[in-house]
Amino acid sequence: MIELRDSNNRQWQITIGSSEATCDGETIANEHTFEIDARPNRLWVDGQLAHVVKVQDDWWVHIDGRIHVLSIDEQGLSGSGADGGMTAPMPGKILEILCGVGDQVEAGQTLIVMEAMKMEHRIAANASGAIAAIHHDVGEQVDAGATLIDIDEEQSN
Amino acid sequence: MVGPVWMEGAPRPISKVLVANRGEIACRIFRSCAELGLGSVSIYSESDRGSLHQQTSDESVFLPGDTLSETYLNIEAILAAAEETGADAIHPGYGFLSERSAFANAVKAAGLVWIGPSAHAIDEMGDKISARRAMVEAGVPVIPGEELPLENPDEMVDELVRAATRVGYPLLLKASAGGGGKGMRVVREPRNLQREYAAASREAATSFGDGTVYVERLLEKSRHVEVQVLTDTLGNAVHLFERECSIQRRHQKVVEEAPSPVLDEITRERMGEAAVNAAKAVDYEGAGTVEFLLAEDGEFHFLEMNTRLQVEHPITECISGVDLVVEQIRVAAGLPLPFTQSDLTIRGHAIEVRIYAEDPANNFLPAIGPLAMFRPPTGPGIRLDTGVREGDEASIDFDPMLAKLIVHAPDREAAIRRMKRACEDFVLLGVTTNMGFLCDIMGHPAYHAGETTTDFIDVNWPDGWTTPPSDVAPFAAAASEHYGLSRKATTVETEEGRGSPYNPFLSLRRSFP
Repeated sequence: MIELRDSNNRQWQITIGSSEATCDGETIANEHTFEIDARPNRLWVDGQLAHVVKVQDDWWVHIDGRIHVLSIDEQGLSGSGADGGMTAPMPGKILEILCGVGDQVEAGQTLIVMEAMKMEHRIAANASGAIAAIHHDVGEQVDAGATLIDIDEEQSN
Repeated sequence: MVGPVWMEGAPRPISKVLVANRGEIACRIFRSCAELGLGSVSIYSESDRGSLHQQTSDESVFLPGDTLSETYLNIEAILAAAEETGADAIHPGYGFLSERSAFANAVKAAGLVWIGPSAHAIDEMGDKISARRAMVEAGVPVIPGEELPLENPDEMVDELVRAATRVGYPLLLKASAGGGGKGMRVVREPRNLQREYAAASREAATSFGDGTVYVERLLEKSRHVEVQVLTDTLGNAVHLFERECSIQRRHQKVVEEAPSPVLDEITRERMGEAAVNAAKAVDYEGAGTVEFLLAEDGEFHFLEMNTRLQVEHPITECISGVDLVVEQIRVAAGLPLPFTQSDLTIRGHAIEVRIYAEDPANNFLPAIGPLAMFRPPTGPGIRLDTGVREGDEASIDFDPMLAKLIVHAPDREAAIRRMKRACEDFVLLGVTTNMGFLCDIMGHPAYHAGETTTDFIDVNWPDGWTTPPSDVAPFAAAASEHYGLSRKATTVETEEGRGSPYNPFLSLRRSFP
């Protein structure tokens, strides 16, 4: 069985050769026919040509005039990590840090200014609370997804 | 004799052109050089080793260094590269040094032909104050605005607030030296003024080496319409009609078309005339663009003049049949324009989309990754101006624009259908791009209706854009995984350059052309 997640965050469980599959836990029919093209990275799905290529854990699929990214879900890798950790939305350089450890911040408040491809981007707090940790310094280059700041969320009284 | 036969008798003959640029625009200029029988020289930095632009030119010169100021902005090194290769002319492309009068002067002082306007014209138009003055004298309406010359935002507060109040909200803060949306900020409320000013000033300083900021009234529901002008050094000047570039995100153009879907003949003529007058007022030489904001009431206001070739110049080439780079080179050589205004007509309709490595579903943030598959569409009326090919990487080092897709068709409706099909046929896998978003713009009723105002994206996608879900793609991916259709997309670095193991440029063990 192959487990996939699409960019709309739907979870798919598909077994090639089985007449059924699941999408977000619901059973759906799998009546698709597949034919592998003689040329690399080409696949016919129900008589329609798809271009496919795998980059790391993602399958990139061009079919029906659209590009889709399907991520292979690693077993046991769950949890969104939405525990107040704020991550870099793109790779770039930290230009400015507008808060310090211990500061009380409000959701939406700009905490970090980043630069990527000569443009500035503001990273706003995703929750109200106290700054628990700042993981990078001004001038540092960070990857997309790198955790920038941890916030101890306010207890909702 | 210097240069090809057609150059015979030219006051400033050219035989070899160095392009002080990179990416798609360098490739595009090299193509015209080849057609004209001129030699070509590229410059490249470490991250562009083995790039398409380096390999498209006849010769290339490596510029060492990690920063732009050591490479593509390094006047001294560029002039040395020209001397080393025997290039007798320099084309600056767009961006980088293209609008620096010091560069134009240095090129001329080195005894080389500068393919661009005079330093005087660059300075006049580059300085928004003097450009406005020239426009007012030429009788063209301008937008209310003021310049703030100081560079330290902390000392500027009072003056800034006063200027903002005079101009009125909502307002736009722009880098005086800028363009292309960099260093540009919208301020809707006074309380955001100071913060945005600091950001705009800093972006301006990083991108253009000049932190001066201009405060201007933001005209909403307006259209961005610009006129292409072409003048020679003998006093002849024509315009090549307008381009409408209203569809923008973060003040950077995404979709452009020519002609404008709303301009009537009379306004077109008035605008064209105003643009030609503007060019004449600064003794302009070569290809330039006069930008206007077309307000809802049909009145147009001068925005600025870009004293260089524009990114979106191909759509003008489509509808006019004129190769602008060829004309730039001819003008620089001192030759007269081969046509007059009455020879020029609009033929059909052209659209350009800019393909950016960015995520339209996530606030258009830049994306990076390998161009694991890059298979452009083909067919009549389709043109691709690209600086990348399959196997290259979208990296963080430069602007996220990968390529421009251009279509030409007999009328607007046919051009839209052609562009939609072309976008759908483009197989571009491995890095997130705006391709799906471009498909949706081409399919949008508001676009078909010509409702292309500068707030088009905000109005039509107020909650942002998301990829339309597919119920087939997951099965295609699962089958690919099941059958092991994976061809690893890796990038290899070799002496010959950079690309995937399947890159024919590498497997042939030679570089093109």
